[in-house]
Amino acid sequence: MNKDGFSLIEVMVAFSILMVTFISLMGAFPTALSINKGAENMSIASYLAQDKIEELNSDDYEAIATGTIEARHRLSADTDNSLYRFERETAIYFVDQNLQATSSDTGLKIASTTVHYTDTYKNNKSYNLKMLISLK
Amino acid sequence: MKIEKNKIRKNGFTILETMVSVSLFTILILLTGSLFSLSQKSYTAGANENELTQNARVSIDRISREIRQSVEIITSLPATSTEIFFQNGHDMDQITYIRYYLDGTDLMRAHEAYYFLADPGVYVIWNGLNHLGQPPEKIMLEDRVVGEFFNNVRFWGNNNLVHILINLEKNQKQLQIQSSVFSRN
Repeated sequence: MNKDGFSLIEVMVAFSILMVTFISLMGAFPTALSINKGAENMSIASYLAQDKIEELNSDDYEAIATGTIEARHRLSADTDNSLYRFERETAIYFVDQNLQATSSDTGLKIASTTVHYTDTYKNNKSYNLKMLISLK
Repeated sequence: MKIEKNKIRKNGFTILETMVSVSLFTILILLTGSLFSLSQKSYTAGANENELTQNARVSIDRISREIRQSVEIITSLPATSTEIFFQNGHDMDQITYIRYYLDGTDLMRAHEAYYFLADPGVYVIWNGLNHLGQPPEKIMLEDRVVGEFFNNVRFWGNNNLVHILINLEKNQKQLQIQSSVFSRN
């Protein structure tokens, strides 16, 4: 009987294996694209974080107040703008010689800026950049 | 009976067998085809996106680095056009200038210098005047494409802190990057 061809079971098993392979292969492409998109988002976020850091860089130590100097806000009010998806917040705090947060001014501050965004799967992501500012 | 049935079978396939095998074959071909076209589409989309990101990053990093090193930003900000003109702070032996501007969808970087006819070997400041009150001649040291697929470039802020916004587009896919650079000099 086997010599005449394949049994229905054999064909079904072979096809289901093939299906599983195909489906998993097909799933790989959207994943690859979303990883790509993730890299792009992270690039944009890193430039937006750098944006704020450079701005703080242009100020003197004394001129930079401590606390939340930039409340979390969208980087564009326009919903059509691609920067609408990105939100940024910045906080400044005093640190000691061991870079631990402290309440007193020892001549060192840390500027911490965080960019929040949602990825293609609606997951919340963030990108944080810190800069040490010292009294000159 | 049994012998006769086997005899018929040996002569070929039944219509049912043919239909089943053809339909299986069709499904297989369709699957392979769709997988192939999906991979092509995904490759194109990915390459497109990567090309935009790469162009944006390379351009903004290069502009940032050169503005950071610059001695003086000559364009008064906010720039009214898609151009920024500033003194090159990289090589201090001679006074040279760098100009970034858009030429269609290409981002161009021009490296220029200015000199007086009396002494072409010495580069002078762009708005200098000689003893006769004449402006200097311009020499283009280099003028080349450094980025593609640009839609718009904007520079604003002040001469200390320059904000940069770039827009790129390729095959309907858009990318916008904003950053700032603090000019230390």
